[in-house]
Amino acid sequence: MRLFGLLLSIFILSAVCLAEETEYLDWKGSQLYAEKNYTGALPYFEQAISQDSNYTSAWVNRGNTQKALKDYNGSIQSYSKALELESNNSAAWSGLVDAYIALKDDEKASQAIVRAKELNPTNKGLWLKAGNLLMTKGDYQGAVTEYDGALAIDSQYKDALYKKGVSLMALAKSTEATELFDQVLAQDPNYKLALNAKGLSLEAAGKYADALTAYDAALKIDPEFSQALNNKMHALLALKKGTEAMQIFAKL
Amino acid sequence: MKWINLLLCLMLLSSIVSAQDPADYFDSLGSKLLSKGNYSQALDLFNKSLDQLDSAAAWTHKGNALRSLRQYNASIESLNHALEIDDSYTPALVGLSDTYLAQKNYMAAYVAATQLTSLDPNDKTCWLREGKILQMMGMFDQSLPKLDQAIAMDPKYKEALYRRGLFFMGTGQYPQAIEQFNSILTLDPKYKQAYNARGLAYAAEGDHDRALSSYERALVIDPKFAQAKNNKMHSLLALKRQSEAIDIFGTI
Repeated sequence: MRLFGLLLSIFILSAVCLAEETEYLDWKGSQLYAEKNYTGALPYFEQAISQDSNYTSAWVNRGNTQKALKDYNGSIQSYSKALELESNNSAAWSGLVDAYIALKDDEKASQAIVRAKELNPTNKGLWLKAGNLLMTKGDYQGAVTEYDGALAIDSQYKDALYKKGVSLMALAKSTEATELFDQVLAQDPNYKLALNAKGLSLEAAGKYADALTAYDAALKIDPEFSQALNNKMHALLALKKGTEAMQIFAKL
Repeated sequence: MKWINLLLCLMLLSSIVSAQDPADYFDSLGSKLLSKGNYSQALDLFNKSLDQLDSAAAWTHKGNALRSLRQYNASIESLNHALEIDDSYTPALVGLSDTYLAQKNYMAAYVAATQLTSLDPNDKTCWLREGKILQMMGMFDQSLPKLDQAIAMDPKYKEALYRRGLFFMGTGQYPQAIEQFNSILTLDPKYKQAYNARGLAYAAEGDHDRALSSYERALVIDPKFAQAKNNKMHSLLALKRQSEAIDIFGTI
């Protein structure tokens, strides 16, 4: 009886040790992942999974690492395995969204994002991604709704303000778009994308001189910003400054 | 005494040959890597070649590799070494002009280009180079005689004809520019740059419908032609087709 008790204790202890080791491996991999050492991190997650194939966290982390290494199909398999174990794992759903977006599988990305948002409705990044997906489909009104969702969580969310501005431009609401770009720039005067887009919205409203100022400001931040350069050339052409416009064109 | 002289000559000759062979070998190996875009390794080989023999070719190749690595000052230094060895070594002057262009030092690039032309005035590419650099400096009037010189040598020289089209645009002569681009397209219907530039000439005249169709022709030839995409976006904006314009904006 004593011997049986001893054996049982040893068995329980070794199981506990193994579980701790799995946790350690997952933790160690996460440390390396945080340091962006993805190739270094992956074997730790693999080892954790080989010790305990039901350890959900390791599957999610493996998926994240594979995604970082651009192995999107591999990451989808890992996230799917995590979801088999824990169907409400919001991190796995979020990871799936990114992987499907990277693979340009908009349909599956949209399905995953719905579930991810249900599980984590206060994640502003998911609302932003949902908006971006609708934008790529040309559903600008739908995109605005999603960006509004993100802005309801964080009214100063620059990326959502910027993207909403771009969507409003598509909906021919240039004045509102310009206001949003100004809001972004009030927070971050170096947000060159907002300056460039502001130029476009001013151009759409026929305000070429103001557009030129916006493009110049973007180019001051990044003189190699080729889109802003090209846009500046168009503003100059519209302002009948053909020589200056062509000087830019000759260099592109 | 005769024998001693002969032996001495043979010794000298063999030492030169023994240095020449490995130097050429490393240089040609480096050039292969350079053409494959493996700049750092190519640079190592050029250095090895120069350890063996101080040659204008290896200094030039080294200068070109350094330019690709964006080490412009070191590149200029290497190319000047080549010119110290042989002041009429045209590949070094080409390299020098290119490095100055990469540095956006247009005046210095132009000086190197004029030196090239004076060394080889029968080379049409030298005249084109001068014309192009002058256009980059906004000196469209001065670019014309250079381009005409190149065209006189080869009346079907597309690049020079194209640049003459840009001269017309830079001097506000849009109908002539359109005519020029059309004549290039007769020579080569797949010359996408001519469609793109013709679109700009139409846009400058305010004819955005025709501009649009020119950009679209360019995009049929090369659907990834970013400049034509951007230009198309501007014409769509001008035509108040904002949603379509932003569809493009999202893909650039």
